[in-house]
Amino acid sequence: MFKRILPTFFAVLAGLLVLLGTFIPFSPLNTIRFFIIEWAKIVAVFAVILAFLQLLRIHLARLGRFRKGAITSLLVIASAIISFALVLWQGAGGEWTRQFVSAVIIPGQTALLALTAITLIMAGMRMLRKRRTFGSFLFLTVVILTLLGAVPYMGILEDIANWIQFVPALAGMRGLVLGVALGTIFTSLRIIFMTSHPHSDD
Amino acid sequence: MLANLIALAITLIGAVALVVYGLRYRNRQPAWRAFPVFTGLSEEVGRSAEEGSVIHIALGNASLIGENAMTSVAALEALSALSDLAAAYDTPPIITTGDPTLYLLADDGMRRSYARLGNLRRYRRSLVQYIAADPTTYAAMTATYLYDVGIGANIILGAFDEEVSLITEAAARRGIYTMGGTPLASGLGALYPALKPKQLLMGEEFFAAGAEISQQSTYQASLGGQDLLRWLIMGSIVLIGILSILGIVGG
Repeated sequence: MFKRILPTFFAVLAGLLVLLGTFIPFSPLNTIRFFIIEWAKIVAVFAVILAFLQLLRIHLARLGRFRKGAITSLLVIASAIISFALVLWQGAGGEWTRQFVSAVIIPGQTALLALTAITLIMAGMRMLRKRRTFGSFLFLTVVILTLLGAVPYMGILEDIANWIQFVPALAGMRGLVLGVALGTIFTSLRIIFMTSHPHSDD
Repeated sequence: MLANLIALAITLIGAVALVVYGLRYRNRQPAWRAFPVFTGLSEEVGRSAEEGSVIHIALGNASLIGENAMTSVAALEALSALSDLAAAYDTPPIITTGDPTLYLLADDGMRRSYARLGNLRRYRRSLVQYIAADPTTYAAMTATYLYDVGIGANIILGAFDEEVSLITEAAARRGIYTMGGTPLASGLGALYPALKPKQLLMGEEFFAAGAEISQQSTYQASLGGQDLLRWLIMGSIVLIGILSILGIVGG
């Protein structure tokens, strides 16, 4: 009962109340919806603590074995503990916390984003080398035209890039979003109908 | 308010369709178009068992209380079927996530797969790992992980943006077979050049993963319902277009 019926009952009840609160945004349904979402956020905070502890445990174990990746684990543990200590000491808006974020985390993430752009170009080049299909050529042609169209004073290329973005790309995107929305609706309906329960025993 | 009513109507039609198709598919399996990627997923688990290599499954960063929550739930449904298979072969996959709520559910699902097979003492907590909260950092750390640990196959299932290319690039350099997909357009743009069509799940195909891997009638029913609603929405778009041209509706 505690493993299957109760989790399923509460999941279905919460799902139904949030759904009704969304479609019928009047009191008391929208108030109940607000409280349920707030409770979910509180539970998520405990999940963050558990995940943080598990992150430390995994990397401490890797560090203890001192195999490949031990240096990475040392850096992860050090940065996790420093971030945690700073937030605990000064809060999320503290001066040292902000310094740490702006001097270490943001430059690191910016560098990774730049690296993402390079990996995308490399993936495109690998595709051209290994997969010479019509789809691959079309993909790369669109990418090149869109990139060139983004450069100022490119005349007709600018118009072509705009047409690609606002006609075929937008149409395709809408079709994709529509399909994903339907998939989302049916995944949630399966949980509400108790035919799928990722949160409890089968 | 009108938008809310339309959404409510779509949800109600979906609910009725789910029940009707569920009853219809209880005794007979429907025939859907083939998705080679799903056959590949099961085959990879078997191949890893034979070779003794490890499968890595990347679940991404979509929180269970965020807008992509159902993407993560769909990924977990597919993972559940794969975990059962992996637990039966005793070749546990390594699962990485970038969201704490997803980490808890994936860990619980993996543990239950072992418990179902009466093999709980073989379960290790390090099989499901929380990597990092930021999507780009998660992808970069996962890419590093692919280099450090001997991975045989890499499965990408979840909400990913363009940062997924860090993972696919690392896998390509190590010669690791990669498959999977994401429903997000920006992630698909990055996955398309990296994966062959038979290795890639595009958009809504992602939500067919549970149905294809588990072959359960409830999942099949939701595919039937999705098709029905898609036709209804397409019909409505065409009808509104015609009425608009005739000047009956719209400005």
